Amino acid sequence: MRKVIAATGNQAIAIALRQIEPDVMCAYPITPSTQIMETYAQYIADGIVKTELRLVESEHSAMSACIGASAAGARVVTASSSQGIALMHEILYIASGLRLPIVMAVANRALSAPINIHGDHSDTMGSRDAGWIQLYAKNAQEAYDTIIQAIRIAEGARLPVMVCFDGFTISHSVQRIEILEDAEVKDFIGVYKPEHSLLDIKRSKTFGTFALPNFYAEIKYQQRDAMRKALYIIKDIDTEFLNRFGTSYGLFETYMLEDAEIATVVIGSTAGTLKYATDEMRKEGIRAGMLRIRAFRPFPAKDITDTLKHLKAIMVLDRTDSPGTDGPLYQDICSALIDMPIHPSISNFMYGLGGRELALEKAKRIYRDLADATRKGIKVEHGYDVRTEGVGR
Amino acid sequence: MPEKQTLEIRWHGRGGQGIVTAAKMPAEVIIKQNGHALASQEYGPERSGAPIKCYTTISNTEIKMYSQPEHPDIVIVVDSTLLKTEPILEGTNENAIIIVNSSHEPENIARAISGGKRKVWTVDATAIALQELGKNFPNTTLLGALIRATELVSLENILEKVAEGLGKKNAALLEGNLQAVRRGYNEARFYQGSEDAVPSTPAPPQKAWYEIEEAGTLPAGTAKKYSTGDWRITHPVLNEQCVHCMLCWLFCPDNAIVVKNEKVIGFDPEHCKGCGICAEVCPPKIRAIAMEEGGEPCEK
Repeated sequence: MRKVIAATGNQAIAIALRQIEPDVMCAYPITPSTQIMETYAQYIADGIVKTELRLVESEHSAMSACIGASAAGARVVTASSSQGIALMHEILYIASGLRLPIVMAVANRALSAPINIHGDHSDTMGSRDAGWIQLYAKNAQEAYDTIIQAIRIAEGARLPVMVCFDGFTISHSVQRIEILEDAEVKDFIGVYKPEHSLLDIKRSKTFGTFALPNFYAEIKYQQRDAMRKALYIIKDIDTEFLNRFGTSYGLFETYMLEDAEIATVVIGSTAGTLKYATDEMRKEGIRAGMLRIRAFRPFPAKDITDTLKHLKAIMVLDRTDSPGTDGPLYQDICSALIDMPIHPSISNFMYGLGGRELALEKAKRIYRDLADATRKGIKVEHGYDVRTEGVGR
Repeated sequence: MPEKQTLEIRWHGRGGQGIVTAAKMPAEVIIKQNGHALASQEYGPERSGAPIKCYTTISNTEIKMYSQPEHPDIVIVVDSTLLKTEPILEGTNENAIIIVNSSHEPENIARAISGGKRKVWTVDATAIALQELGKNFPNTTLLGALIRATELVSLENILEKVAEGLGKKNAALLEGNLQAVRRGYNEARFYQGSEDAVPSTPAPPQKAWYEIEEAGTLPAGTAKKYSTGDWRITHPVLNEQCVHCMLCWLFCPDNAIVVKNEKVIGFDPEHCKGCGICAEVCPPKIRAIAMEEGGEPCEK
């Protein structure tokens, strides 16, 4: 049974973690995810949960401690943002390389410099190749449900999972959330029994072996294969979640796409605004639609191809810049559609950097430009939400 | 210079035997003579005594390929114990020349590695090095044998290069090294190979990605099964001065100090790499462990 509460995204994550009650949590606080650990530390102080909380001196150490605990056989969770994700970058690869099912909540935030605390996807996009499953939620409800699913996904795929949601926009705004009962969550996630662990002394294992050119690629290929299989694991666990609790999210979400001619592709909370804009466009007779990526790693390329191939034009919205080339989501969408004999015209729009709002008017302009270009039979130019006209001095 | 446009050499040796230097020297001579050459190494856990490989490529045109030669024309085995453990014939054909540091006749080596099929040169480079240098640095002797086997460059030119390379660093060893190159050139022996010999067996296949343990984890304790004893190029010798203070046992990185009834009784030949840490930590007033040249006679 779902119970309605009012909570911020961070509080919703903290509640989900309380229900999950991991064995170990290692973290270092950073805006805008601090509240997750702060709330959880209160649960521990109040004796509500028995989780061992390790406060360390940096995110580099936080992820290192997570790896140690996970290799020892514990169910391990952490949270971070921005510079924290950047600082733990090298350790992220070790977590995935050792196939440890660590779950990390990420309140997405821009990277310095210039220093900025607001939401964009630069932090997790910077670690998109780190071998972590990356699931992006559109709101607090989805973040709550996804982190519960993530425990099962991580342990099923034996890969670490990031559950990402937009910093401040989702992490700090109070939203209506329907939470599950504690027993329902405990029953859904079950008891964690690792196949191998350092503390399984009867079948003891060496973790972190050395592999020269004659073995390294084979072990990396195992990760690639695990990531491919993770697509099915994410789908299966989502279906089980649907059957038990009546909610499902899939690998991606579509909106009015079936008969659409033009569409946007986006990640995160901006999807909500784009739905409104889609509705407005439809009123004007423009057949607009939207696709929101939930699973960015693994990238569900084939399903996306089948969903987008009938469109005339697509604008891919990236909330991170990749100076010198186009946005990471744009590149993946292009790659997914390149094998179609005739594919939609695909353009890229950089938006929302450092927390810049993409409100309804701006969203509608994206659709209108797309519609105009399509009518004229031309490709809409790549865009960047930046001031190009100054004070005229 | 052979007719072939490119000549590729693969060196098999152990860390500490100077094979990186040996692989670079002919390349440096060729480049100095306005030719084209490339010397490269395979990097790994190159602790002293670990098996390593180096490559020298020589060409009469610009070398554009930086990957390691797959089909070398010449294989030089600096340490004969590697004949048993390393795939020294890998990627070679019947025309390849195998040069081995060994006191044995080349025909015997050819029989051991290929049933007598292959072309083999041998030179007792360790003995020559011990006589001329007082240390087991067989590289310069083998360089002499390589020049003899291939006539890549003239003996005079390589002697000049050796003088140039070692003159600054270690003048005391220079004359010994020059003599080692000359003796390597003069004392190398050749076996032509036999057509009707039995071909060697191919290397066994390796595990596919799905057959390897996930994440490359390994069962604990497997280091014991991994014999590192043949990495030795020097070995420890225990004398009666030992007071059984156990410092060597404490510091040995390979658990190779054999202790019985709380007394040090010797060294584990399967795992002692000959690193010399035991001799180093043995108290100066005691000096119960000395390192001696050569890897084989490590007594238990």
